[in-house]
Amino acid sequence: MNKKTVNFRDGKDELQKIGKKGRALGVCATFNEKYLCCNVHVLRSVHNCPYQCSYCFLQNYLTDGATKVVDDISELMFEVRDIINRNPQRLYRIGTWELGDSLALENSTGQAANLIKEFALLDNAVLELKTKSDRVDSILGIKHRNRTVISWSLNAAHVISRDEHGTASLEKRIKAMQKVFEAGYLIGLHFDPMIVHHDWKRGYEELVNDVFSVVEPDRIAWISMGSLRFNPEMKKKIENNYPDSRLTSAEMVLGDDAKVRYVKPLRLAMYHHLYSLLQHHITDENPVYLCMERWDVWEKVFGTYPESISHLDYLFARSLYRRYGLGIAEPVKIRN
Amino acid sequence: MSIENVEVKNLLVNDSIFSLKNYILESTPDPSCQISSFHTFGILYPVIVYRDRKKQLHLIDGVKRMHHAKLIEQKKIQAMILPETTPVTDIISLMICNKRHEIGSSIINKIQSICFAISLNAPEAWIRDTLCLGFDFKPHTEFLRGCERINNLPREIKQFCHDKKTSLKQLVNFTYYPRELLKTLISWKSELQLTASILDEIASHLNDYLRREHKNINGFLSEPEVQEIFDSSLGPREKTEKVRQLLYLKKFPILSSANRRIENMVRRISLPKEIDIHWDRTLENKKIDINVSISDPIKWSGILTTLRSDELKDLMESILEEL
Ligand code: SF4
Repeated sequence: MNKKTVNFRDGKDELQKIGKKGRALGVCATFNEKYLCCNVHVLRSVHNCPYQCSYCFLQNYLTDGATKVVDDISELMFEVRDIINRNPQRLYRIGTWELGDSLALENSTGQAANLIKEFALLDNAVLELKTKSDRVDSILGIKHRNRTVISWSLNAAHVISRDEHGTASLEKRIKAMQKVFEAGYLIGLHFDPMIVHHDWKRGYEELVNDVFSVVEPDRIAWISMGSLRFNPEMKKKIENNYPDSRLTSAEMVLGDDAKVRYVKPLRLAMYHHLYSLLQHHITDENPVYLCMERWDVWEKVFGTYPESISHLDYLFARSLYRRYGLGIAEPVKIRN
Repeated sequence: MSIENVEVKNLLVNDSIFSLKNYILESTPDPSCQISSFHTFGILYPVIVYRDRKKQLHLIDGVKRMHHAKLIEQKKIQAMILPETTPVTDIISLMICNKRHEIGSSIINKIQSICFAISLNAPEAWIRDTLCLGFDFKPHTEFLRGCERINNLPREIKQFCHDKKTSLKQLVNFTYYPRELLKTLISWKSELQLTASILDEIASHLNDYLRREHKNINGFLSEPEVQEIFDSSLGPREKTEKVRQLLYLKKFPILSSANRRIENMVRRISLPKEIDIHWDRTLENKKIDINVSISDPIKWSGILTTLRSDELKDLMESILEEL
């Protein structure tokens, strides 16, 4: 019989460095045709995470042991090159956050630093390191050639303290963001998962003000907004693992992608509010997108929506090429 | 193993470490048939007991015989005595075999017998491989922890689950609700028509509502709409429906009011009964289905006129705006 850990927390304190097994590069697992996906690629270089966000899907997914980090960077990069060289015209966005936090373990592994150096050598790929940590000091001096976007998953301070256990406080994330901004990195902002809580409008307003007190819009590669969503079977797990959390008591419905999320009017209210706050700080050049949302929600929030998932991919590539010269040429829009 | 005549008063029955009274649930305790057979034949077979290190005798099998012996004030009873060295797994196997009909009659009883084995410190590997697999459960440590949570449910809930032959999934669901909430809900058993799935639905909606509104169960019970339902002269089935509707409204206030707005819009234009309008009541899919059912071709042109009308077009626009 396989060894089964009893508790998802068991593997969080034990770090193992492992070799690459099987394919590590894929597309984001949340891909579903009724919802618009940003078409990002994911490099599965981290499995599990030392943090304990009450909404994290890992508590339902990884229950088989330690936190694992692939230390075989040359093997990872071999696979990345193999894929991106097949289509040199395309600009690939590649994130390492699918099964964990890109920087939480950086002080022990140095994995992100190695990846930044490797991606600096590529012409048609951008690495996205997404984090809820403030572990950035060791990457500040690296020559990144704009080929790495350091992104933060951001939330209202109240949500961070109540539901993102062990992560860096908002204040620390903002300080780290400032350091990264000053080191000349591109920055990604992910307001995701937005969570309804008491006085949420003010919470998100303060968050946006804090962020834009340290970064300028011209260094922001992209901004995403998304709302709380999880597999239905996660509800009981969350309630069991985090009895004090009220996350699951909200008004939520099951979507066509088999995930529960807030009812649409509530999601729209949150996106409208956040987007109107962002508009005070950003320009038309900043790509803002919704993570795993329906086309009609895009239309209600932005007044428009991409024609397809590949059109959205094109819009990203065009923005990154025009603003930072990323990619080998201005991308060409593909007709669907 | 020996057969001895032992003092009835020296035999631990309810306090026996092998007592199943807190584990195995019975549907309709009806001792009368057994008693009458005792009256006819007396006690035919020895009871089975375990003698522990301190020489105390714990009843393993024969509760009803002991009950009868006490009833007729019999001083001694024949007992087959298992020595201290008897492996606990053998005793559990014997007991489960003797009680296989009761145990097999509900999922909760199967789980309770696993918990009985856990309470006796039977080796976990044996419990997994013999009991779990024997009962068609997953032989995992995590499953055993789930069994313990089920065992901790209030007794009334467990009895309800036994009587209703509740599934494992629903049993597991019940373990996530606060005890107080479950105790209150099961106390409504005589007023409402509860099945396991209705109980689960009510518990789920009520639990979410209470957590979201920072209320406790007494706060909910003192709400006027709730009191009105329970004070009404409605029958159990109608009361149950009212409680379910009320809890749905409380759990889904935004959805409920959006759907109500749409229903009012549809009602306002009074469509012929041949035309039916459907929308996704979760509001997720922005689309409307229009069904036309026709049994008389004469009505067709009238239906087409309605379908082409500006009024219906405006209605479609308004509904789509809501979705
Ligand atoms: S930081 Fe991300 S991966 Fe880590 S626990 Fe939180 S949600 Fe999960």
